[in-house]
Formats: sequence, C-alpha cells, structure tokens
Amino acid sequence: MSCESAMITEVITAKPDETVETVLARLSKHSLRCVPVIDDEGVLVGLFCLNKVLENLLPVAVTMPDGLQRLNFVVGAAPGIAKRLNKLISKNISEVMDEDMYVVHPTTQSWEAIRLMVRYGSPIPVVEKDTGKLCGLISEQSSILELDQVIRQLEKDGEI
Amino acid sequence: MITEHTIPQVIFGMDPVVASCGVLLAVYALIISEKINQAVTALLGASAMIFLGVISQHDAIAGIDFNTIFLLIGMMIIVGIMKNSGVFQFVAIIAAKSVKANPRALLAVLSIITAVFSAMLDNVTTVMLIVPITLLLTEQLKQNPYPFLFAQIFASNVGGTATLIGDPPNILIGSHVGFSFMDFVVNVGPPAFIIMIFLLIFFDVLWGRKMKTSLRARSHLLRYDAAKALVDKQLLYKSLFVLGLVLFGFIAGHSHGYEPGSIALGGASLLMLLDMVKHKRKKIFLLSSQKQAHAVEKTFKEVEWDTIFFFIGLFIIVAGVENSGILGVMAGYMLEATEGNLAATGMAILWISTVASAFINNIPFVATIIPMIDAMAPTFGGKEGLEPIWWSLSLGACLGGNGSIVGASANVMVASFAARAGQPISFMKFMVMAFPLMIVTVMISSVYAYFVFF
Repeated sequence: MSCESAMITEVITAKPDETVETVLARLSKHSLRCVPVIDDEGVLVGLFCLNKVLENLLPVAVTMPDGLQRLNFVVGAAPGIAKRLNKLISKNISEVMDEDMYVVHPTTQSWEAIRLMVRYGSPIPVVEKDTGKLCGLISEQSSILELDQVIRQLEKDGEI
Repeated sequence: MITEHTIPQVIFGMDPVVASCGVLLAVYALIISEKINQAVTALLGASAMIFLGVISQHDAIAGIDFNTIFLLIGMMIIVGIMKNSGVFQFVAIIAAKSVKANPRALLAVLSIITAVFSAMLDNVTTVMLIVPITLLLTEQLKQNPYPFLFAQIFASNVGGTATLIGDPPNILIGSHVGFSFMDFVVNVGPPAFIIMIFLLIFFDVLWGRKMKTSLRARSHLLRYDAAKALVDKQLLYKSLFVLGLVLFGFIAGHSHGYEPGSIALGGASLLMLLDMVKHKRKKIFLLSSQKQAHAVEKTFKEVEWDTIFFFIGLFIIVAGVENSGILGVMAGYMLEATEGNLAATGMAILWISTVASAFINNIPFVATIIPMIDAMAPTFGGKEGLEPIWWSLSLGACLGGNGSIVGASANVMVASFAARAGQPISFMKFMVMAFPLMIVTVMISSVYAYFVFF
C-alpha cells in the first residue's frame, strides 16, 4: 500500500502571504489543525499548524534547545500571552509556518508514512518527487480509513 | 606527573623532542582550528605519542592524572543529578523577587549567583542553567539580555577562579601540586572577590544605572511562584546534603590524605544511591533493579565524556612532551629571561597564561605549562618555592578566559544560548569590551600577587 492510495487529495491550503488571522479563521471553519502552504505554482513551501502558533506564544527561554523545562512558576501570564497572540495574528504565515517539515511521495510506502506520523506528528504532506508540488496529505485518519478498507477487502476474499 | 621515565625509542631514529613537539603543535593547531572534535584530537595525539615511541603505554597510563579525572567525573555526576531539582531557577526567581524585580539590582544579583555557583560547580553547567532563566526574566522585564549575559560570562570565570573545583585549570594545578580546597580559597579567593566587586561596580555604571522598566512588568515578575520552580524537593535536599558533604570533604579531607578525586567520586556514588531511594505517600522504597539501571544509565549520560577523554588524551601528550625533556629546556629559557627572579617569573607566567587563555583553550595550555613550571623548582629552592608561581598561573589562566568569546567553555556556552535565543554575541562585539576589561582584572590580580605572593 502506497501513500497515493491513503492520502487525501482535496486539501485546504494557504498562501505564504496570507495573515495568521485569516488562516486561523480557515482552520477554525474546517476544524483543522494544519494547512499546507503552497506558492502560486502549487509547490509546497511550508506547513502552518496550530501548535506552531502556540509555540510562538512561548518565551524564547522555553522554546530554544536546552531551554527551561517548565513554566508553572509563572503566575497570571494569560494577559501577556493574549497580547503576544494579538501581535502574531497580523503577521504573514510565512513568518510562523514550519518550513522544515517531513514530506512523503505518492510512491512512498504507507508503513513509512505511519512511522513518520508516529514519530513527528500528523499530517504529512505528499509531494511530487521531482517538482515538489503538493499532491495531498496523509493523516492518521486517512491512513486508518485506508487500512479499514484493506480489512474489508481481506474479509471479502476470505483471508480473515 | 611521571616520576621515572623510560628512555624514548622513537621510530626511524627521530629526535624525541622533534617528534613530541610536532605532535603537540599539531594538536594545538587542530584544537584552535575547531575542525575536528577536541577529544578526538587529543586521543589521536596521545596515540601518536605512543606509536611514535615517544612514550611507552605504561608511562602514558602513569601520566594520566586520575585525581583530576575522578574529580571531574564526580562533580559532573553530582551536578547532573542536582540540576534536575530545579534549584537554579528557584534561586534566580527568589533573587529577582528579593530585589523587587528591579533590573539594575537584578543585573548584580544574577552576576553574584553565577559567581557563587561557578565557584562550587563547574562554569559550563552553571551558565547552562542560569542563562535560560535569565532570558526569561529579562524578557519579562523588557530588558536587553546582552548586559546580563556579558556579566554572567565574567562572573562565571571570576567565581571559578576562587576555588579548586571552580575552573579546570585550578583542578589541574590543585591535583598536580596537591593544593587543598582551602589553599585556593585563601590564596586566589581574595583577588577573585576584589575583581568581582570591581566588575559589579563597572557593570552598574555602564549598564545597570540606565536600566528602566515599567511597574507593570515588575509586578508580573513579582507574582512568580518560586516554590513551583522546584521540580523535586527531595532531590534538592539529597543533592544539597551530598554537595555539603563533598565540600566539607574537600576542606577537611586534605589533611587526612584524602584527595579531591576520591571525595567527589564518593559523593557522586552516594548521591546516585540516594537518588534510587524514593519517598512516596509516606512510604520509603528502593527503585526496582530495572529502574535503577535506567537511572544509573541516565546519570552516566550526564558526564561529559568528551571532556574526560580530552583530559586523558592531553595528559598522555603532555607526558610525552615531558619525557622528551623539552619543557625543562623551555623552563631554562624563561628563567634566563627573568634572571631567576621569582616575582618576574611569576608575573611572566601570569601574563603569558592570560594572553594564551584568551585565545586558546586554557586546559591544554595549563596542562603543558605545569611540567615546565615544575622544572623551575631547583632555581627557587625546591617545590615549595614555586607556590607563588602556581597562583599566578591560576589567576592568569582562569581570568584570561574572559578575553574573548572563545576564551573559556562557559563563554562559548553563553554565546550558543544567546544565538539560540536570537541574540547572537559576535566575536568582535564581545572582544571590544571584554579584552580591555579582562586586562584590568588581570592588572588587579598582578598588583595583588606582587604584594601578597612575592
């Protein structure tokens, strides 16, 4: 089973010059956690996820490698965090998106995509090997749905 | 280090001096170039010394100062366990609250905390734990973190100067000569203290008095709950108990023949044992053997093995160079230049080690110069006569590290943290202020050394 059969092809995307506020509204409307960010040619340039937004709200002392392990001693930080979010939403998503994400190709085996999702989180963009154009997304749900269909087929064939 | 040498049988009939100096210079060049990991460089150099026949394997092993190695491993284990308690964040928050979150006073107290921790623990660990909380506090108070980080670099190197365990050059000198913890406190502690006072005033005049922040930012910081920064109170008590015991051992053990290496390793093993005893719901229990194995493995990973092997390699290289007899010749040249005058020799060592330590790693430098100073003993009436020179070396090598951003491992660590936080400290930006300031601190040391040691 390759990623091509397990991926979602109707994908909601974003453009790098859209604001965080606009894309957050889109994520909320479609109940999504992430959107792939593509340029005018459809080439994947990044992944914009809610956890990246949250990461940007944390102090740099926490997010940097070997930084602080906890923040529970900071009391009453909510207004400060809200102000950070307020500043963040006017920025372009290109400043916040993850440009260093894992990708798979349509021919990549689903096992490998599942391994990547378990290790680095879902979803994983599926891109054309040569052009880098976005073909779809593979997510936890899409993988399980595809495996479910395989089970049905096996049942039909009397193999389970 | 080596008391009885075997005569070098260098391959192809090479001159042992040429072979050993060639290896030493190649190792220095590779360390300065930073192209190859310094531990690998030192081990390659050590292997070359043995394979070239400059030193036998037996003499190479005898050249390793296991007191230093045990002391380093022991303290790394203690700090590695202790840091999990959250004590550094706790102390920094308490300090920030005690000065009512005033940035000017915070600059001073964080520098003092860095100096005190650096005197008791190694400098790199101290800055590694104090810098992230400093960045959080300065962000909260809307202050530029640069003055704080700059001050902490100086404080860590000055604090480390004051004790046997504060800085690797002192560990090397103390272990080689047999100086006690208190010998360091009494002899290099006072100049370190005077320099620290000078630095606090200097940083206050330069930066502190201009620092302003809003009442709102200060009130946010004052609401921090320091107690919650303590991750594991039990571990804190155990760590403080063992650290206290180890410090007591350093002070009291010397007169009973206990060397710092054994004391630190003994303390480390005791803390590892205590860390396996847990207290939960009014019950005291020992971790299962599987969890014990996991805990021990995790603790051993805290040891900076690259540093340990760097030291081992260096000891063998220096033993090879020492075996060739070149260091005795160099000592003769220096004594000729200073006409055998103790004060002039001491000052020369102090300033040479200062300048060298500002640009190259002070550990190989001190390791190389120790046998050279040893060779001067007959001129100054035996080993006892060398004592002022050892203190000069300690002051020069430790304080010289402040001269550039690559002068000491702690500086490199702060710079790397600053870069990660998006506040890079460039080589030139740091040096423009640090080098002259370091010269002033060494001048203070020179005056102190001249009047007290000579």
